[in-house]
Amino acid sequence: MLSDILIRLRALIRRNAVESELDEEIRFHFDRQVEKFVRSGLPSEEAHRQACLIFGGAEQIKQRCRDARGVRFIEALARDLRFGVRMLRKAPGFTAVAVLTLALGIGATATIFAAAYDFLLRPLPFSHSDRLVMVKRYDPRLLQSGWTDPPSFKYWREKNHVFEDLGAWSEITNYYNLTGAEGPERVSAKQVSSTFFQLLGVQLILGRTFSSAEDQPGGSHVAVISHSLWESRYGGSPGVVGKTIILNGESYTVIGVLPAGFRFSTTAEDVWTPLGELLNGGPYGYFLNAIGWLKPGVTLAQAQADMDAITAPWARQFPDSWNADQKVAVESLRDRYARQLRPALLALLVAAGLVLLIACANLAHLLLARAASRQKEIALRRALGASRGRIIGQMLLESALLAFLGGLGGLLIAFVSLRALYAVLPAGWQPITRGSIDAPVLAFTLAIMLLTVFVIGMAPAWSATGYDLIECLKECRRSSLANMSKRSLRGALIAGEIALAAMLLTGAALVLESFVRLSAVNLGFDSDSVLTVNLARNNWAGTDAFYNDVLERIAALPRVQAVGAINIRPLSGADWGQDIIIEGRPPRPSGDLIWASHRQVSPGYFRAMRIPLIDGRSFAPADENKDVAVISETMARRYWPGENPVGKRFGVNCARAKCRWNSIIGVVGDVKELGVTSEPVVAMYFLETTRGMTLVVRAAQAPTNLIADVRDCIHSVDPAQPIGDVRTMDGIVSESIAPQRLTMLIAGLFAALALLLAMVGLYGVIAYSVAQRNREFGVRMALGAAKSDILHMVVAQGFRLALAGMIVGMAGALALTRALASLLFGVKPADPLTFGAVALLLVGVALLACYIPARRASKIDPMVALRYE
Amino acid sequence: MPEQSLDLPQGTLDLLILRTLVPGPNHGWAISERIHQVSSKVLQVQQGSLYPALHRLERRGWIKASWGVSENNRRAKYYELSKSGRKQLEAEQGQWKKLVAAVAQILETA
Repeated sequence: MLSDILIRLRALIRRNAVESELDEEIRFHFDRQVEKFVRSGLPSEEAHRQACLIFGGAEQIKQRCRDARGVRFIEALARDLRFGVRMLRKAPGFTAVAVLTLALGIGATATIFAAAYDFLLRPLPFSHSDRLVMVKRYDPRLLQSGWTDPPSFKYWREKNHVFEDLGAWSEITNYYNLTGAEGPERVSAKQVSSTFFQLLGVQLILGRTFSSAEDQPGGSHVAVISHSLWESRYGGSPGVVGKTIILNGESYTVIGVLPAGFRFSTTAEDVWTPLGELLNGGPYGYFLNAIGWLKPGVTLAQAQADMDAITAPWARQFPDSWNADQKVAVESLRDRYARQLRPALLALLVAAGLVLLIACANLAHLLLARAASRQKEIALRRALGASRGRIIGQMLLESALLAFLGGLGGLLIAFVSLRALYAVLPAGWQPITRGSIDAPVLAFTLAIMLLTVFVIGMAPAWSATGYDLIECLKECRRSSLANMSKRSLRGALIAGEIALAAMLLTGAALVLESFVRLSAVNLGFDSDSVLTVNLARNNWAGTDAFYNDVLERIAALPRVQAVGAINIRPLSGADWGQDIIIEGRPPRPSGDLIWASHRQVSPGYFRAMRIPLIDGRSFAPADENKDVAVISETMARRYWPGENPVGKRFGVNCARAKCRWNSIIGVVGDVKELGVTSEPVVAMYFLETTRGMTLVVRAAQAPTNLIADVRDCIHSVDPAQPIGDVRTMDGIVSESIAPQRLTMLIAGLFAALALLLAMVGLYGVIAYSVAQRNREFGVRMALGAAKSDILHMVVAQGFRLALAGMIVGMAGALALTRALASLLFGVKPADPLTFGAVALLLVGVALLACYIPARRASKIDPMVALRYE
Repeated sequence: MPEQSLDLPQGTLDLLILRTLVPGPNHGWAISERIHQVSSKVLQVQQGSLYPALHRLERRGWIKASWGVSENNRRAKYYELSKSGRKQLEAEQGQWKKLVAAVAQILETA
């Protein structure tokens, strides 16, 4: 075995030495043969002749010896490869266009695949992440649903049969003021159940995670800190475990440090504390997210069935907190990170695949044209004994070379554009684990490269070898009839390309139109020139005085038009509400709650946000501590239909506590608090302050110029007050539709690329056919055809192709865009205007692509053309 | 003039080469001459078969090649039976004898 490999290797690597040894060996034999004849009495010349006769062809013997070395296949491959490289280098223009075309197609596909892999497939950075699910409570009355209350969570944990365990985390990220010898710092914090880290399988690098004792009241003053906080604030000292830290003036004991890079949300938290007594809270407080670790072998559907089964008796037992139409849903944890982006990613992946297909079709027809011009060479090689398979193999190898170079270029493009993509994506939209161009992406790229080889190489190779050899050698001329069928094959390829481009263009146009409509949606407030500043006080005491003081000082700044504050700003992703009852209405059936979002605002909020007052009046400073409320238009319309709600009263939280009755003093316009595509919330506004408020400052111009002044105002009231996120409302609105914008941009880019490639293809086919038909045009003109006749003829030829492609493409688009429905906003998948516009664009560009070669055809000098042949 | 000779049956060339190398290493010319003489000039190995066979046997590890000096003082490639070649020869010899006996039996009785 070993000798076999060594000899084969030597034959490959030291080819020349092996060859000369063979020469010498054969020569020796020959000489001995001659000697023998001479000895037997023949004259030396005759002996030589006889030896030659016996020997036959020395070259044939050598060839058989080479075959015996067992490396013929590799040698042939190497020869073909050298030949292929030579052919490509001989036509640098063709090679460059081909490689660039493929690189664009492969690059686009690989980029989107890499992103889709990160979002949809890459394992989450938790142990047994495939068995982690979210358990959500859906209530049709609540817009932002999925959150649950502590009693339900505890009930699920106790009664289910499908989970190893359940954990919970509080949806709200708290911002704490971390103080101490290291200086004040604003940190983000999440509250979790003691089971949370165990479920995720996190191995702490120091200390321990929470114990079940810390789920109990009084046990919650312990904290686990992130690796980055540990390094930046405590210098990575192991002594941090057991250290007391001050969060919002309360002391917590650090019990553990998380490993580097641990993230549960797309933006990493600094501090984790136990939910503690919050976990023992009563019903109605819907703030928990539940995570479950499925028992081995349990499917999502089984878990769902079990949860449905245990929810039914629970709802009967607590009709107050569980309405009949509430449901529990078990969803994969991955949906937390990727759900919103999945349709866009899949659509873009398909779009990228279409671009690649168009690129392949373009290349296939370039190669077809090249194969046609090489017909004589190929015929000659076949006549000299090359088999059809051998020539097809050799031509496929040339395609493989192109695909390989294109693939390398594509990977380079993917590497750069993936970075650009993640750089453009706002922090909140990043994937939880970000890969790069790694093994799965490389494997995918390799697979599409191989596919490309066959798509672009097979048609030319087949057609270049499938003809009568003798016929071709006899009259293989540029104008041969054999080209007719190939011309129609090329025509079909181009029509197909145009069809694909039409589909892509239509899809992209629909997405673009959706985005335009999305951007034009009235959110209910004016985001222009508004600065938002996130503040959180250490405790509840004195918040009124603090915020009033700060707002007053900011209002006094020049260039500030209005200023206000709200507990939960629009588009924050958070919501908080309470159940209400309406005075004078018969009590609703048990459990049928009216839910309203609770907003705490300062008097200037509506003016600062330019939320229109529809009825009654807004808050005045004198309303402080009075039971008055402003409600949203939707709330007014839904609960006081046909009536003027001003002056009416409603009660908050009456099921559990003494009812607090509020008089309605005004109605303001609806605000799309939860996002551009969401319905406006049913909102009730109260003149209150709370610990954490967001200031909204309306500037005369350029809100960011106010940042320093606003900071000074805040610090003049309380120098120790940490300042949280400072952002413009415009930026917040823009980020909320960032995925749609990016989808639109990428789809547009792909569509443009597809259009360009298809038109280059169309141009190429027409130009090639014009070059082929030079003589024909010459004859026509000699017989009296006008230049315009030739022009018409050529343009019509191309236009027929374009039209055929467009019709097929439009039909395809009609079928395909239906799948885009979830990505569209305010426009129907079969929007006739969009289809019409795309058709017009395609026709226009196609005419242009045909016109250029047609003009050239019409300028042919008949004399030159006729003499040429 | 070449004498009247028989072509070798398929597959027997390897066996003959291996057997010829039993006395000691030899080069291609000597191997072909020896087969010719020992077979009383009945068997004639064609060069076009001999050298590919030698190269194939070498690759299989049954013979080893080295350069030496021939009896007329020229550099020549000598082939030598290897250990595994010796085993192969024994096996093939046994099979050959069985085959010959079986063929003979059929020819005589059937």
